[in-house]
Amino acid sequence: MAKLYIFGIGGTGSRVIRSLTMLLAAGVRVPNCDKVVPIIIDPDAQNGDMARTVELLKTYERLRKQLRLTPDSNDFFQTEIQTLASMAASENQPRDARVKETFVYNFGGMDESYRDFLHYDDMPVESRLLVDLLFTPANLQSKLTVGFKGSPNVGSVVLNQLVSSPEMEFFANSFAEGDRVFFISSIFGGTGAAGFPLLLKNLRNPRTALPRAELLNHAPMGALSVLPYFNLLADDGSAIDSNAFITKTKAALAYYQKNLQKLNALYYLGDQSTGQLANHEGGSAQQNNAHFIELVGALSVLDFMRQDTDYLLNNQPLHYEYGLEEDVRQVDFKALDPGQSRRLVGPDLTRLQLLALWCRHHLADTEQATYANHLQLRRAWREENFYLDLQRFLQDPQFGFETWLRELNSNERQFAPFALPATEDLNKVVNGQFTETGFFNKGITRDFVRVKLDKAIPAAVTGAEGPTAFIQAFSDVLRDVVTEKVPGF
Amino acid sequence: MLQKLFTTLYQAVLGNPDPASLIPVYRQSIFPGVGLYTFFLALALALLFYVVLNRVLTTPYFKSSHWAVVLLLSAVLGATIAWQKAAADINAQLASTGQQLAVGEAATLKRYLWGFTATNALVAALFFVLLSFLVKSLSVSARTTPVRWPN
Repeated sequence: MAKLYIFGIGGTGSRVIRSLTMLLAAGVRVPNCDKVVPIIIDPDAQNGDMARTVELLKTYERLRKQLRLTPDSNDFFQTEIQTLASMAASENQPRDARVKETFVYNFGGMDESYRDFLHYDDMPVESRLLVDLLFTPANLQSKLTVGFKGSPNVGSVVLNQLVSSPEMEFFANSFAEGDRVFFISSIFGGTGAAGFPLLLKNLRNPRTALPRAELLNHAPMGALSVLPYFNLLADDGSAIDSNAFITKTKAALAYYQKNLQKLNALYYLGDQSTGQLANHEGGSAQQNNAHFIELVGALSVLDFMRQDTDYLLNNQPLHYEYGLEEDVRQVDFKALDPGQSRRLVGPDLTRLQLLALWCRHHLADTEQATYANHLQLRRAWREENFYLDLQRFLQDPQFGFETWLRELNSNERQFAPFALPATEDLNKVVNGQFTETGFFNKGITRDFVRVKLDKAIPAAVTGAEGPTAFIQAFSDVLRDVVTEKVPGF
Repeated sequence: MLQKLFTTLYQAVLGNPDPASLIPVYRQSIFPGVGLYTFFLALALALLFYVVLNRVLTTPYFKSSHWAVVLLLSAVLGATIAWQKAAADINAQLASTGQQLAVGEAATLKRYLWGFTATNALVAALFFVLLSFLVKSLSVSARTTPVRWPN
């Protein structure tokens, strides 16, 4: 069973993984892979973006654990997402007690300053002078609790501890033939810009102390490097100045050009149509609205996985960029390439939106329907963990699918595939792709969908099989509804 | 057989028909006729609810409340059938024999007819409930109406 290990480094890493999780929930398949193992690397333990991505991943993992889906279908939540520890447990690999059951690399609560981290005061004077040359006094005084505040020179030192960590050793031990690695980071910040090349260098190092070095050396590895796609409001009190994003990007690109070795595919993304976000150095306040670029970033993971292993290994390095079908400020499905992105995400995201609308507006009115009675949904929806988690996944105001869509819809550049605020009218779900109705054809009505669900679940389902039957029925029915009734896909 | 079945059913609830001079018409015509009509009425309503409204057509009438409305309708129609059929058969009998009912007998007849009407409303409802459980498996959208059992 091939696995994809995704290292999401820094805030951008978390945000792209959030978008990828939404796509996987919608049933988008990751080619050549059955299981995704995200590893988020961010020293800012309180980071808002990371916190809600982790909550989302945990919710997804709990949901997925209760499903027994048919392999090779594309139901909601088809692809498994697991932590390193639970992945090892599910494959009967030996457990390492030092590796926690979490999606986040454990930095062990770094609450010291960078100066203390370096043991600056214990250094010989020559070393201190060298440190003074490489780092500003602000760098040295900076507390590491909120990350590297956009300083890759700090990150490249601190993140070296990663390589000798139990998590990395555990990762390498669990790495198998056919597995792949993908890195997601930004190039204009601190953590991602420093962490990605450092990780790559160490994983590809033929003399690495990590186990299974031979496998790691020859495994397909890809990366997404996100160029600036937002600006920050000017704040004299903040160490982060978005005016320096381009300069830092150029410097990092120059470094990458010479030092990125043995990467099989590299995806570059950026956007000049940038909105301005509040300036937070880190912590829980750093919680940026989801952005279209992050969704496209998630597509790079799918594109990388789509490629044949031999092609990746024999034609390196492959470089990719992304272009919209139309350069519009408000992106809907019609602005995406009909042969690729639109076909890949349009129907499945629409399906998930229909599920969200059904749960929000139509479920209560169909609680007595055949499908609901066979699933005992009236009770289960309020009491069973699976359904409570599903509601959280779709509706949580912090990390849920509906919130994600609202954020995408309100960002610059705006991604607005669906009519928002969402209405009960299922015929007007997809912007620019409304379902045609007439006197004899009412389009997608509540009863039209309900009858299909009734047919999909014609007999009583026992308690433990309920979640699987629910997901399979909704996946099949809403797929048919989109295919039959929503034009343009 | 039907004659005996329905006669037994109605007389078990209502006792012997009153006035006694009309017992033959009740047993030979009214009880079996009304019973049979009521059965087919309940069957028709069950098929209407489970097959027409909830299989052939896509309607929103699948809930227990909708089923209860049809149940009530079957009771009302059952009562109507009983009253109409009994009144028509008795009038025909009286007309054909030239029999005149005494004042006391007319009041007794009316009381028995009301009882018969109410009983047949219950019988119609009972038939509809029983037939619902037989027919519901033919439905798509109301297979679990009014209760999930036996699905």
